[in-house]
Amino acid sequence: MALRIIRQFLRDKRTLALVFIVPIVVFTLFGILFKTESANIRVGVINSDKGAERTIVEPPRTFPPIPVIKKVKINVGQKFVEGLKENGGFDIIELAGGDTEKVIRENRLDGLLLFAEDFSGNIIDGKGIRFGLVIEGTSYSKKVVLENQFEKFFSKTIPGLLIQGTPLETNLKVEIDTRYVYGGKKFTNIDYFSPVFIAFFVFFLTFLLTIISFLRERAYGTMERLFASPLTKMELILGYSLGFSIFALAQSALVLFFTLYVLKINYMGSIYLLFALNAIFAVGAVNMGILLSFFAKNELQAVQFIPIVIVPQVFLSGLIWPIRDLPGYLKPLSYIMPLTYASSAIEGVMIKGFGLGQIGFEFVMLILFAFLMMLLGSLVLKRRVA
Amino acid sequence: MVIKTENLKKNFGGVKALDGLNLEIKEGELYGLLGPNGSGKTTLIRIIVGVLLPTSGTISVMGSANPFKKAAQIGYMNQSESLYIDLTVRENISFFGALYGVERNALKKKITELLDLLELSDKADELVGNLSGGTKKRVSLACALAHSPKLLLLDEPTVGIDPALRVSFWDYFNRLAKEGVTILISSHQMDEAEKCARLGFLREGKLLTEGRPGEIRSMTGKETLEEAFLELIRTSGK
Ligand SMILES: Nc1ncnc2c1ncn2[C@@H]1O[C@H](COP(=O)(O)OP(=O)(O)OP(=O)(O)O)[C@@H](O)[C@H]1O
Ligand SMILES: [Mg+2]
Repeated sequence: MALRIIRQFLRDKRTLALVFIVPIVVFTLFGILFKTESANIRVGVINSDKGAERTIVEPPRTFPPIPVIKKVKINVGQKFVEGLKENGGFDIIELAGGDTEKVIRENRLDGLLLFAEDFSGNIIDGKGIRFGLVIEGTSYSKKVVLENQFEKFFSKTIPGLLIQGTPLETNLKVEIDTRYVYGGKKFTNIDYFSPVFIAFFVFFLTFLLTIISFLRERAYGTMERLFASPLTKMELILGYSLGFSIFALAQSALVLFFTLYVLKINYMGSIYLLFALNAIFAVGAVNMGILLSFFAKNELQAVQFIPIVIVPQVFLSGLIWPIRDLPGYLKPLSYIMPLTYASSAIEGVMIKGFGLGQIGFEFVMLILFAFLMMLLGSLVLKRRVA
Repeated sequence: MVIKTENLKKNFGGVKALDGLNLEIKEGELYGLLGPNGSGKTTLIRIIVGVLLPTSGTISVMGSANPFKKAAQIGYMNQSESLYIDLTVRENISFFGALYGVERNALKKKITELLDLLELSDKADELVGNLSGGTKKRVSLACALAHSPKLLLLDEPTVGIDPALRVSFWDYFNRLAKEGVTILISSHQMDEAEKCARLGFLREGKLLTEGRPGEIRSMTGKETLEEAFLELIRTSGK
């Protein structure tokens, strides 16, 4: 039995290559990605702090012992910025100001700290450490870090950071006025992951179903019958696309229904747009399945396309690691992967509440992907084989 | 001529599946294609149906060099039962009928007729995957007949079918031929060959002999077709 299996494997050179090469590729990717995971969070700071004057009573050093009363001007905002730069664990970028959303977009920031004019004043008057924080909110992990890190940092840093010999009150309240560009405080892990996973499932299942059913058409000889009939190649491709897209839509409807109403995830944009995206993506996946079915002799070889087609997309499409944090030489790969555009578009709709206009580029890319696959599929699909 | 091939050749790598074949089949003819395993029967039928391109030579099917142009009038049954195993018998026949553009009501009538003829009525709503080999073969034939084709290409349609049913198959084929349907059937069964109007004996991609069953018998001086063909193989082997 074991001998038979080994013999069959040795005959199937492709399987053999896959069994040994794919793990190496996958683990290389893993290695690269886990090393790059520590990409820093980019935080911008707009420091409008005007500073404040503080009266300091120095202990007497002279004789007769008269305490020296000094008025010192301090800028706590400035001190914080310096402190953050030294040991905050973030990439700190000082910025001049302006419309916060624009500043975040232009500087590709994950978060933006805002120190108002009276920042120092509030501290000196004992009112508390009050500042603004704008979180970009596209990445869940970064959002969580930003939400939690600053409060700790500020309350811990105050004693040491301020001017020597001028003890400030150390039990100042930290009041952060947090705002979000996308998503919001109530968006949790599942809200972030469900959009991309919807895209992923649509792709994965439609692709797999198509490739297997196309292979079955060939194995059972029904393909030959179809080709003997008046059905044109294009009708065959469109029929398949339609059938499986309906299937994929039903599937994503179910997933959406489940996530929206049962798991009660938060979302912003239009459901119809979401459906349209899923449908287009499904058409692309169907035609990719048709195309690749010609490079597989049997179901076993079709299943082998999973590590080749699916796994890199999971790693590189921003599903797990943001594309922005990938090393430069991997980025071009990301940009040829359809899942990149699908998840970016679906994320845009669900988390950012984007309309068609704002995801236009991704939309077009998905349509292009579907067309390209259809074209290539119709090229390899031969009614009359030589 | 409904089918005409001239010096038809087909190579698969080094294998000469067809080696200069000249064949002419008239309208309404019931033509039997005989030959041992690997002699090129399936290859010839696939070229006529248009799913396989010849290496060289010409073919003409109902006057067209590209059989696909006449696809709507051709009924094809391949050697393996090519059916959707997760559809029922009725769904399979109806799918292939619809593929050829048969109008819905006409198709319904035709399906009932075919189910009757092929004794499939009681299995009509069973999944094809659960059927026996011979039953699948019958369903496969029904699928080829659903659009009432003018030309029928049947690759070993009677393999695995019980004798009684086989007789009624041949009666039906003969009836169709009388109605003007041209039929090309490949077979190993010599008793069936007697029922063909004309026979062609294929060997190593060449047409060894052609003629009416009676002609072939008297030509070799043998009593039965079976003996006649064994004799032909023996003499051609030299
Ligand atoms: N797709 C193919 N690729 C390679 N060789 C093939 C292919 N199809 C047929 N052949 C070869 O061509 C020759 C003729 O095969 P074909 O199937 O036409 O024979 P046949 O007369 O139908 O045999 P059978 O009675 O067993 O059905 C055989 O030697 C076969 O191995
Ligand atoms: Mg054959």
